[in-house]
Amino acid sequence: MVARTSTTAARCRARGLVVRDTDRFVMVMGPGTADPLKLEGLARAVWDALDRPQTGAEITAALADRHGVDVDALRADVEATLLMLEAAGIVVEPPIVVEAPIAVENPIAVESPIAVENS
Amino acid sequence: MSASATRRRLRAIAARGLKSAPVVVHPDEPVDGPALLAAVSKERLTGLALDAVAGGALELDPADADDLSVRHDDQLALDLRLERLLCTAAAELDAAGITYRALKGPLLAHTVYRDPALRSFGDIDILVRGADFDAAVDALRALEFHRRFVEPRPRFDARFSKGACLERADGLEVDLHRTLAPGPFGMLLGFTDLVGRAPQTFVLGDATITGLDRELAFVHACFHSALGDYPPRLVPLRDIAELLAAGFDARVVIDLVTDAQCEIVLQRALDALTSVLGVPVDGEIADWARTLEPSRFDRRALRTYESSDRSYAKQAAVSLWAMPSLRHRLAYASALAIPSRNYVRARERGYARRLGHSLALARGGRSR
Repeated sequence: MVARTSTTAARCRARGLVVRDTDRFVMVMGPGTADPLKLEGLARAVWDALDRPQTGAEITAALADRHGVDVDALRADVEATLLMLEAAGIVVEPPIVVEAPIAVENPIAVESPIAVENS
Repeated sequence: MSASATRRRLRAIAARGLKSAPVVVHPDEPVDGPALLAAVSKERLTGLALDAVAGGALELDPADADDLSVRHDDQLALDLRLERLLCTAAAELDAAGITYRALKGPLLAHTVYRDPALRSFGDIDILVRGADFDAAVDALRALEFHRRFVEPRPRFDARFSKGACLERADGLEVDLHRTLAPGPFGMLLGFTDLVGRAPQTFVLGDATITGLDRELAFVHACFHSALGDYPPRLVPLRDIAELLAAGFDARVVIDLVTDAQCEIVLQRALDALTSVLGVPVDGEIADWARTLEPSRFDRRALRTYESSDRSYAKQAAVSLWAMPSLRHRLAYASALAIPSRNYVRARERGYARRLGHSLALARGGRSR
């Protein structure tokens, strides 16, 4: 079995976070932590990218493209940042969504068969 | 820089971005950075001060600018800890079946300020009904909070006080309210079912928090400004200006304070908004406030909130006359005159000293 790393597995922001988003940094506090975490620089860029679920590889590619740097040079730093955010409990694997069966509000009416009288 | 120059700069910071007459700051007057920053932190104005620096309205030398950034980071970290606390406190109260309303800081930061980082706070304020007060204290005990002060008699706070300050070993505080101010005007407003009004909700993390509706939030900001510290603190005045800009039903506010006989508090708060922050107030609420004349009771009650004459005993004495019946007055006076042994031990160091306070209360409350 291959371990799911943040490179291959998507990550997203945890639920229940309280946040302050400023020009200089983002400050985030999770439900299970005693102190907020201040995210600047690369940590902030990774956090911003996680406004939707993404893998480490996707985040790395996007940041490398935006800042014109080599993907390979960035990969290890993004991975380390994701691990740090995960350890702090503010980034998680996206919950598995089980789709409920579609409820049919107005089922197609089945007309009762026409009684054919045998004459 | 003199204390008055520091105060002028603070006022200019607190009024930043408002439609106000500019607070006069002499550009050549030297800035005592450390003194100004200490005052900015104390008034919880670090967010607006940074905004002023970014906008070029406040010049600081590089070391002071760095210091301001650090102070603001610390304040934001406290804001988030307190918001997390509000989420858990709200969950405890919900689980105990207690209807509550969040007040002031987080409510206003998330419902009227353009950026919550501009409205910081030092504790969490929660309003519950008097009938639920002791149960709310018990519910918050599950989060390791305990009363800072012993109450004079069991259920005294639930019946007569503004509320109680609850504290925890980590230094966080919850100000649990029964009404919106101490003293006679808080007593009068406390006869209204403040929690019964439809709430305004806002989301913190995963939690939907119920807060005061816009009209009552405005009344509370006015009470805080007019009856809190003297001279008034700047953040509550800013709150009034933000609420006026956000809009509310002025007629509801007027009816509310008229029913509670607290009209003069709003007049005083609006006057302070104009005189301190230079914000002109117009419209229905301003026209109404201008027509008010303080009664003898209003003047007497207001004096008990001014620093030169402010004391718990004087507020308690005038509060007697805010009571609806003789039965209430007797219960209130006897609880203060003959408090529990625990209270006397904790607060007065003996009944003899307590007797002196009781006599002061009797003297102060003799006439209306």
